[in-house]
Formats: sequence, structure tokens, C-alpha cells
Amino acid sequence: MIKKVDISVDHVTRVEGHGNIRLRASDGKVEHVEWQVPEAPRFFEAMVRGRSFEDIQTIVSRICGICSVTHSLASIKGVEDAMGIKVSGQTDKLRILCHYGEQMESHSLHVGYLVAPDLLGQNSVIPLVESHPDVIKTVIRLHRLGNTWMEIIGGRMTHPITLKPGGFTAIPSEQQLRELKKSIEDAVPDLKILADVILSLADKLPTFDRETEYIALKYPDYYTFYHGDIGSTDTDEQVPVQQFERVVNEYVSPQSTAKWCKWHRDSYAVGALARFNLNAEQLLPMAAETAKKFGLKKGACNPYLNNVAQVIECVQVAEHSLQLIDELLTKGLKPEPVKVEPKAGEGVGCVEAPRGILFHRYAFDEKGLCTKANICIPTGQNHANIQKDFEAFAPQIIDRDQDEIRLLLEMLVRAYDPCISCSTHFLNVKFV
Amino acid sequence: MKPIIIICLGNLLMRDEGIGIRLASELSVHFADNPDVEVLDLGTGGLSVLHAIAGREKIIFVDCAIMDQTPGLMLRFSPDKVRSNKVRMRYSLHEGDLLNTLELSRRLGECPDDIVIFGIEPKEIAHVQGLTSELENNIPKYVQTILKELDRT
Repeated sequence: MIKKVDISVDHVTRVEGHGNIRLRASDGKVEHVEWQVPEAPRFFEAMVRGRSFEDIQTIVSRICGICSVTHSLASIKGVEDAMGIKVSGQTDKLRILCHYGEQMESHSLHVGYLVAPDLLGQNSVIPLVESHPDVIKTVIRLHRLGNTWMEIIGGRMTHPITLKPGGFTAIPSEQQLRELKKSIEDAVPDLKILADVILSLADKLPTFDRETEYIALKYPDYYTFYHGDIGSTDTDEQVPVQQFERVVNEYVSPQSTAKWCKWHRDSYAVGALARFNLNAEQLLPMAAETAKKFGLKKGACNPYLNNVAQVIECVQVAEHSLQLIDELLTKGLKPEPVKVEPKAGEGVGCVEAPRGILFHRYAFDEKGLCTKANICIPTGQNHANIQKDFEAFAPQIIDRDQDEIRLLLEMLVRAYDPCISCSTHFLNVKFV
Repeated sequence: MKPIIIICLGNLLMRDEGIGIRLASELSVHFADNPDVEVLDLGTGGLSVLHAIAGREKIIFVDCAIMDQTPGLMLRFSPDKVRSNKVRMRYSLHEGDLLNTLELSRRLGECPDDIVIFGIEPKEIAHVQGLTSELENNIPKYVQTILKELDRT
């Protein structure tokens, strides 16, 4: 008897784009497997054209509710690059600190709310409240810490209001920084619990290695999410962020309506595992110890291990934040009035979003009005790699039960922590 | 922490999906110095709702809601009066569903009992800034209705 597998996981909504999984196989042979995603929305680029450089951050911070600090920072760096604006060491550190709050929030949410249910055999986080209350309460405390952290530096728990080209409109008090430091120190046991829980479940992460090119920022001074040039595991060459188009090489594939990206191979991956693979030797002691516990080493090419790298990065950002706060307090915080005179120019801002490297390019006229914008998001850069993973992994699991195949492919997509439909969220209800 | 919070959700870049955020700026003026009422623009913060509601006495949500009503109509309801039509794929953290988040909060024992949702039926959700006139023209009415809700407490 010929065994047929036909998987079609569809999600169609009115505006937001979701990914669909397609798999057709017959008699143990994969005939078609596809990660279908619509083109990432480019309308934000049209929205900022004609707008003042001072308004760009406010607009792009609304692209995403989870990466709003990341988009804000990428846009601000793009403006500063275009206009030749230099910022103070205090601004630099406070921005990085704010960005770390977002990494903590996003990674703890992703690992706790989306990945843990898979590993614990549940279809959502809600049943875990009864079955694994300690795990969920730990995750929620870390998520809450991330929110408070961003509120202290960014002025709001999401969509920050203090981050502007040239500096900050308001800075936290030294007392607030001391309180934040204590909260981070108090969270260290929770980070250990999170790592131990995921470690105890790590054998549930599927085994699937595929040699992959990983791309992330590289910076000599520390494990970076903010400064540096573009690096790759396939080359020693580092590319200045101003030349990011040389790296992303967006192209149209007949297989997909979304543009794909490639550099040295057919695809590449960005995100926590990419950063780890490029920069692991720069992890601080607690983070390095966490990596050691998991046995994660540079060169890992199982995409499911992105979730392990996220746990390690939670520890890394906590540890580095404690250092940054000490440095800020030692020097003393002082208000730094921001005055930016617009001038014509073009520039690029690049930061590492929780889910991978993000590029913003802008051009401005002499009045500071935006004449050109191009935003290249990490999820868009990962789509081709998800497809290549599907093509390699599906034949390896095709003999399994159809529901298990579907779950493994869904888990693979989840492992990349994609940002697919974040710009809308409206209620859609029926009355009962 | 103020005992009452008005949480406004939505996205100003998505046409009528921005109604909650627009109302946040209107309502903030009324409660600027109020010791008991906080107005929060939570954007599309999704799961951050968990933290914004924990420990409060009364919650008011203001959000765009597809309810099969006339565009511009605002309805007041509690979470137990509705079911979500959304199908969640769990691919991404970015799939927001307020009702699901409230259920999580309830199971955690953090969810206040007194929750009111003001849902406003959109005319159009699209990649455009600014509301349609069906909603824009009703802003003063929406504000008055929400202010009256506070008189009940």
C-alpha cells in the first residue's frame, strides 16, 4: 500500500501575513515541501518618505510591538549615520542597556511561551500554568523584568519615547538604575532555572544538522547586539553595515512571493544561534558557563538550537547590563540636551534584533526630510533558510506519523522566532 | 500603582486599527493628574498586557474589534461575553490575542475581575496612517462614553 502524506497548514487573515506549510509525499518520497510566506510589508518605507528625520523613530517603532526598541535604534543610527551625528558614551551605554531589556523580554517570552509548550507536549502555554507553574512563573518574572527595564530607559514598556537621534529626551535617575541593577541581580536565579528547565528538555529538541552560513554583527570589544561590522561563518571578511546590500542580496525565487536572501550559499541564517556561532568566545563568564552546560559550541548547525542560544543570550545581556550600569553609575549620569541640525545625506543603521540582524537605510534632503527608505528585517533574511531546512529535513522524517511531521516542521519555523504578523493585532470576536 | 488602568491597544500605521492609540492621547489629557486612573498606550505590545493589568482593581481596554457591526460603532462588553474568531498558529510571538492573554492572566491568578472592553468596529484596516471618517468623526462620543464608564466606579 502506498502511504501518502499531505500536510497543508494554512492561515489566511485579512491583512497580516502568516506562513503556510505545505508538504506532499508519496510512498516515503517527498514530492513537494514549501514554507510559504507573503512578502514582508514594505509600506513602512513609503510611510516615512517625506517625513522629518525627527519623526522616523516614532513611526518605525510601531512596526513591531516586540522589536520596537530594535527598530527605534536602527532608525536612529541610520539618521545619525546620514547626518554625521556622534553621540556621547553615556547615550551609547543607555541605548545598549535599553536594547538588552528587549532581548531579555523577547527571548524569555519565546522560549517560555512558544518553545516550552512544544517540549512539554502541550499545544499552548495556558495548560502549563497548571502542569508546570514554577516554569511559567519564572518566565513571567523574566518577561516582567524585561518590560520594567525598557520602561526605565525607554520611557515606556513598549514603543519607546525617550530614544532620539543625538541622544535621549529623558534619562533615568541614578536611583532607577540602582533599582534596575538589583532587579537584574535578583533575576539571576530565575535565569538559572530557565536554563535548567530547557536543559532538562533538550533531548526533546529534534536532531537535525545542516551546514549553514550564519550572519551577525561582529565587534572586537564584546558580544555585540549594537556595534560592529557584518560577519559570516563562511568568510573572514567583514562588511561595513553601510554596504549591507552586498550581504543580503535580495532576490526573487519562483518558489516564494517573499524575497529571499543569500550571500555565499543559497541561503543564510540570522538570530541568536548566528550571533553565538560568530561571537561565542566573547560571552561573559555566566553566559559561557550556561553554554558549557548545554554543550553548545561554535559551529552548531541544528536550527532548533537557536532556542538554546536564546537562553544563553538572556544570561549574557543580564551580565553585560550589570557591567554597563556600574560604569554609568561610576561616571555619574548627567542630562545631555540634544540639538540636531538637519543636513542632507544617506546612512545605514544596523542592530541585532532578538531574531537577527536588522538593517535600515535612509536618505534625507537638506531640510532633514526623508527621501528614501529601505528596511531589511531578520525574518525576511531567514525565509530562504527555513525553506532549505525543510527540503533537507522533510525526507529524514517522512516515515513518521503525519501529525508528528507537521509538529516537527512547525517547531522548526518556531525555532527561528519569526516576526510575521506583528503590526496588527485587532480583536476579532463573536458574541456568545 | 494606580488602581484603575485604561489600556489602549492598536497601531497608528494601520488605518482604523489605530483607534485605541488615538483615544489614548485624547484620554490622557483627562487623566493627566488623576491619582487613581492611568492611561496606557500599549500599542501592539501583546503579552505585555499581562504585566499592565496585574495588581489593578479595574481594567478598561480600548481596541479596534471586528464584531460584524456597523463601522464606527463602539460596544462595551466583558471578556466572558465573546469568543475569539482568531486562529493562532503559534509560529510567532507576534500573534496577539487579547482574550487569550486574559485567560493566561486568569489562570495565573493575576487577572482582576472587573474588566471592561470597549471595542470599536473598523471601516478599514490597511497600511495607511489616519482613521477613516466613520471613526474620526466619533472621537468625542467615544471619549464621553469611556469617561462615563469611570463614573460607574
